[in-house]
Amino acid sequence: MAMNCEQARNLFDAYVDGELSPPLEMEVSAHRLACASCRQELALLEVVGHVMSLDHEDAEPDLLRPDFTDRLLTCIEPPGTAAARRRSRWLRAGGGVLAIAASMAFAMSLFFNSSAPRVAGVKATRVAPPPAVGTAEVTDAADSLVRQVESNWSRHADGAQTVIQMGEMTLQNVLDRLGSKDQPIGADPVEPRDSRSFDELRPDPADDAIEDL
Amino acid sequence: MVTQRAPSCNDGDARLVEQRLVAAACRHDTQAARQLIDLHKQRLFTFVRRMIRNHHDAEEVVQDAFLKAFASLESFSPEYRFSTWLFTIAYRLCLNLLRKKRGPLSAEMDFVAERDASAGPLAVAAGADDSRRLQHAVWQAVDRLSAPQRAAVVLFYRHEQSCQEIAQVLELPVATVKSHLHRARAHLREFLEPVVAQEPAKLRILFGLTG
Repeated sequence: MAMNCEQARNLFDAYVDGELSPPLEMEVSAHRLACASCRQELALLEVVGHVMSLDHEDAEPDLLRPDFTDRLLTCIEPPGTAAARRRSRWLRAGGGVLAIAASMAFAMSLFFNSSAPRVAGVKATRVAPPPAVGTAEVTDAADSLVRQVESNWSRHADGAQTVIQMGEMTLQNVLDRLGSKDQPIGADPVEPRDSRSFDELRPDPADDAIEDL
Repeated sequence: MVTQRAPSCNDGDARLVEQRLVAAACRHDTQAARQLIDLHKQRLFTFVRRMIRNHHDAEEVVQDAFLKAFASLESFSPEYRFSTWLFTIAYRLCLNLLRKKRGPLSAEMDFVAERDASAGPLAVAAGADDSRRLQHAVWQAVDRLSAPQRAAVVLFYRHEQSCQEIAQVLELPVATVKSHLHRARAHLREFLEPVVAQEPAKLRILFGLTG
């Protein structure tokens, strides 16, 4: 029994793709010869396929730039580099975060522990800068002392107690060199105050009388 | 004309050469990398150009596809063809770009008709070369297909890939690829019937088709 148009059309794709068994291919070919409509459809499919296989869009085919490969090679990293770079980036980021966290923790420990920095469980007295006593010379000496103590503190954490005591002693020496702690430098001595009242101090007229000869 | 898609000895040789080049490129052999690129760049560009329809965008997609392929070269399995893998990457990039643009195809295309009109002797006009007019009509019809249908017909006809290879590139089952081909042909028939239906015999002569 000859194939009808509906049966043939169902097989057009496979026929054009060469996927039909030889007997079926023959049947479709026979129907094609007998049916103008199906012949036209098949011709169109084949022409379209043929045009696309040629792909001549115009006389000058669309091409990549001549230096495409050279430019591309400058961008291509050696295989594995991208993965290594990602790993390195993560390690650096992680290390950086750790470093920042450690610095912040150290800074915060110095900032908040204002009353008594502790070293090896020993409570130490904070060395305060000496009070301003009026002369630049002493002020400079006091500043130098503070810097010296701070430097020693940072370099000799284990001996901090000793350092602090040394600092206190040195500060005491400076203050003793200034003399009395209660007397500011340059002030005049104060006369003792007369405790008598005004009436007591008013002159007595009898003191001015003339004596008899 | 019946299209055959049987593998040949040349395919096997080409595959061996490709595997050797990939292995050498993995060992930082720049010459091997250059050969790999030159082997596939124009074919890949032709495919992407049919998908994207814009020369500049197509060139960028091709470049990006190669960059992605080379970045993952160490993890590439030799049981697959490098070219198939490359086309797969390029197809994904095309889909991403088409989704981003989401405009009508004609807005993104290089207007072939306008270029031809200004090209002097190559102008497409009434009474001009019938074959060129038909080619223009066919490709315009292809441009109106959906992305998967367009990819299927271009890979099948232009790049002579089998349905199995097309299925790998498009990352679809073979049955789906055949369905796309079937629908694409139905659409193309619909678009082109007014153009070619009147003179199928003349067109067959033009293209040397027999049978």
